[in-house]
Amino acid sequence: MDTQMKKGILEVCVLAVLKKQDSYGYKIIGDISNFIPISESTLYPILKRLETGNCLTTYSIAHNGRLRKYYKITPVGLRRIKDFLDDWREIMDIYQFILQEEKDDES
Amino acid sequence: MTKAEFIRNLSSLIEALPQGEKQKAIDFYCEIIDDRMENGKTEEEAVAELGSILAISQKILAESGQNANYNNYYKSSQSYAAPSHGGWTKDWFGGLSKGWLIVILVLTSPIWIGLVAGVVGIIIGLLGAVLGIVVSLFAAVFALAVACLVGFISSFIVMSTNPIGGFAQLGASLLCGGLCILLCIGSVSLIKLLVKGFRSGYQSVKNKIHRKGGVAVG
Repeated sequence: MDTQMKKGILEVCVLAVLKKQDSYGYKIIGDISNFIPISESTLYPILKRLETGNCLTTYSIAHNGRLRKYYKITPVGLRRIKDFLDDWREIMDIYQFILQEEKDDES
Repeated sequence: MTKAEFIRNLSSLIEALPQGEKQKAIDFYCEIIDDRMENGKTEEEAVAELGSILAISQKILAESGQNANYNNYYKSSQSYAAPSHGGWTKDWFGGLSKGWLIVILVLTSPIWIGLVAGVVGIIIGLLGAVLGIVVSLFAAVFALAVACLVGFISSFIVMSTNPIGGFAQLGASLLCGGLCILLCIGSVSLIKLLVKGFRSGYQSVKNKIHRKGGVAVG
């Protein structure tokens, strides 16, 4: 898959995980990995980009004598998810059109 | 490799980054290593599972290089994923803080106020022109009806003194009546068409505003 496209999709995956509840790096990877393999080195830039884009905010909580950074989705992030779903509905229509054209070509 | 070694190696590879960004990246990986160890991995394993430090550092550096072009990245990824019109403007504005948006709006007000006023003027002008056409059509229908009625009645009076002229006038008045009826039918269907046009125009403008508000993307 096109890397830029995959990046965009993974961003929305992270937002979808955060929509359920605030989460931290290790847990986000665990949640997403059930569906798509993702490494820490991929997640870090995504989180950074989402933060820069105001899609999420962060806060720290003490855990076992150290700080754990939590990520929280913002209204902008929620809108990102909605836009993604709307966009993909549109793309699926285009996909159907292209598929139909291919079939017509063969027959 | 131990956690301390990992941190040392990583920070030397991303030396070029500003201190805050460097620390953020290191904190992120430290937390992952700690969480892994909490879940039963040894320090050695937890670090090894992160993969090559070089690859990690390259991704961090590549991302902060892209950061300067953040808005551009957004633009390109958005238009790629969404061929819908106005797709990227939404996210572009989303990337700006509200405060900045207001400042920009105020600073550029001499330009956009003029533009908005111009557009409103054009719309009002168009509405006026359409109204003018409708009114003039009615006036024409009315004039023809009056001409037909008056001509018809007076033609009998003229006929008593001048039969040929009277008949000519009768014919002319009936012609007026026919034209009046034709014009009536024509203008009624024109008005219907105008109403329909306005309605669909209003609907599409409403939809666009709806979309711009980020409530829905069709």
